[in-house]
Amino acid sequence: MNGWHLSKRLLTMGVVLFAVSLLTYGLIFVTPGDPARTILTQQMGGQSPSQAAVEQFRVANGLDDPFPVQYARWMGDVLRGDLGQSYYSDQAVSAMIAQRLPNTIALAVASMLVAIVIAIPAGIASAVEPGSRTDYAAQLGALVGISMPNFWLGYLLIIVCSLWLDLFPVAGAEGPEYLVLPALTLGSGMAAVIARLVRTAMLDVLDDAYIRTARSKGLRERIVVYKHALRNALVPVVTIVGLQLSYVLNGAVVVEVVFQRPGLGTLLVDAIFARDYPVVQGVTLLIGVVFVVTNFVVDLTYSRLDPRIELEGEPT
Amino acid sequence: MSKPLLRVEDLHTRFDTDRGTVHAVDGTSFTVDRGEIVGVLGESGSGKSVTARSICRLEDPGRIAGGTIEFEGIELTTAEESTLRRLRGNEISMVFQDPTETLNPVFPVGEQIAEAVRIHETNDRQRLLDFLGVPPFRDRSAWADARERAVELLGQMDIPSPKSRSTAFPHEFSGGLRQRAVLAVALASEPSLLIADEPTTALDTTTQADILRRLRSLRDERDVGILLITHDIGVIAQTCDRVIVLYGGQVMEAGPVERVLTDPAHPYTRSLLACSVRNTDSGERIHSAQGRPADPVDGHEGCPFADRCRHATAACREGPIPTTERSSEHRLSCLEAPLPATRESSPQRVSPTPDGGTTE
Repeated sequence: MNGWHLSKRLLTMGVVLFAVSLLTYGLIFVTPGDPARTILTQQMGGQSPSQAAVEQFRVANGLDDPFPVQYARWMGDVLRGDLGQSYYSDQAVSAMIAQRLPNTIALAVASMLVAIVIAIPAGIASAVEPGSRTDYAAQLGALVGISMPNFWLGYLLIIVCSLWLDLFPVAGAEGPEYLVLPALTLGSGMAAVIARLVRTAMLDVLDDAYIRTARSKGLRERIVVYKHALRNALVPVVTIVGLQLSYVLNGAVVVEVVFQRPGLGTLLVDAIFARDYPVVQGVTLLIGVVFVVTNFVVDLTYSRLDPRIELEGEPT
Repeated sequence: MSKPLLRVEDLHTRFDTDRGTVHAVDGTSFTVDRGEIVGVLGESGSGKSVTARSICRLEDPGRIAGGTIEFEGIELTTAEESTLRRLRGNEISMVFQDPTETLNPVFPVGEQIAEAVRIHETNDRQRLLDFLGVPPFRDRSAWADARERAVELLGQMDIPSPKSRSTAFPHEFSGGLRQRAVLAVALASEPSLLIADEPTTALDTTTQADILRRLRSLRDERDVGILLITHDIGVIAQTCDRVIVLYGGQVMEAGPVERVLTDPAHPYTRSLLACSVRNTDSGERIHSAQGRPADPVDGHEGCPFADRCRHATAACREGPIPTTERSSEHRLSCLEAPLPATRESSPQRVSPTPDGGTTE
């Protein structure tokens, strides 16, 4: 990819991110509930605040300005790395995110690993012998994995692995052992989707003429499958794995609540219930940015995986 | 005469389908020696590709229901997959139609040739991580040597600037360059037998001539035996020493190319030649063979060509057709030969065919 196309891509990404920020900020305005009133009620211990106090709070926090002004102020701060203050604690939103982010990243990476480690061998085993018992078992497993809701699987794992077998802690995020069950919960659903895709992609690729050529060289079947076929089957798989990242972040919301892990998910849920808008905006924006950047990285990966794929518009 | 490199005898390959058993190869016998190019000629559905597949068993060839395939004394019809794999890495190489599809699009061409070199070297000790190129497990010096050998092979195929080309990907090659690269892959293991299934069908005429010239020089310089499968009489005429004409999975006529093509004795060979553009005068309509290829379901009684043959008699449709020898090495399976023809010929019948057919 040359510089021109890279800059074009980056420009597009900028536009998308602008739209994401606008929507993130704007959504708060169309949701019901008045943050000033909510916060003051909270601060006064459940007592209804006076109209004057509400007005005063609005002016103090810039909540009475027109939307574009509020947005511009917020965006200016964001670009300087300041996501604002939480309405409830005196912490900066960026600090709150920074505190919770490592836990969510650990969960995301671990569940991705779980998904990939389960899905790729299972998908390949299915594709190598379509119609075999292994294939049926893997497909049944995938169906179960897709059909099971996260929260249900999470509680099931807690009951079986923590309460009955006492293998892993129930909740929290103190050490790596706390990661196992949440990662399994989140990873198994993704594994199912990825395994199905690997199976389809591999079945498609294994019929190609270059696989016959690889075999005709006297190459062991294992190497034919894991080198020649897998590498070609990876392009669609990488796309889905990239898209699944949004699933991880969405899933993290549920899984973190189930396992009571302090992470972005729990932060977001708490902030939504409390109408702590700066926090909601900060976390949503971060998730949006992660998603856009991931897609960009996936695009870059394509041309590394398959040399025939040039980025759009590039002369061949 | 010494033992042939490859001896196929009375081969029967069948497919079980819903409509019945397809007798794709129905008692074919032939040999290939070192240093000769044997052409297998036939229309689509004549069983020529299934014959090739039965030898190397790369794709599901169907069920080999009878006969023997002997390669340097090894019986291939009953050989283990591991034996076949070893042979593919060392002795038997294959080149297929359509070079756009036969090279892996995601690996550089040089890497794919180097791989064949490494397979030839390591044989049964191929390690997955070594071939995947995972750093601590890759034998770097061996791969560097193999890559050098790949550049050498590309050079021998007259690929310009082989060093830089070896790092290019297949899609950066033209069709002709690709097929030469495919040949380089096939030769990396220094095979004694090369099976080429329609290697030039997807190429333009100039490139085709170039690839055929390369096959001839392989025969002359490396003493490779080549089995060349094609539907193109022109390719046979330009390239082969001997030709086997297949129809309905049976050998109709076989012999030295110049004799079979200049003095065809079988009505099927004659009709193929009549359809060839090269044998048509300018202004004359190109002939096309009448009728459709015989339906190979449940095999054939008598001669498979009888339904399309204007010389056919009741006897042709009934009994087995004996193989006769027209002149030395020129074999023929036809009851009606000698045919009324422009050329005078006096074939002599010989004893029963290898598959137990009886002489009339």
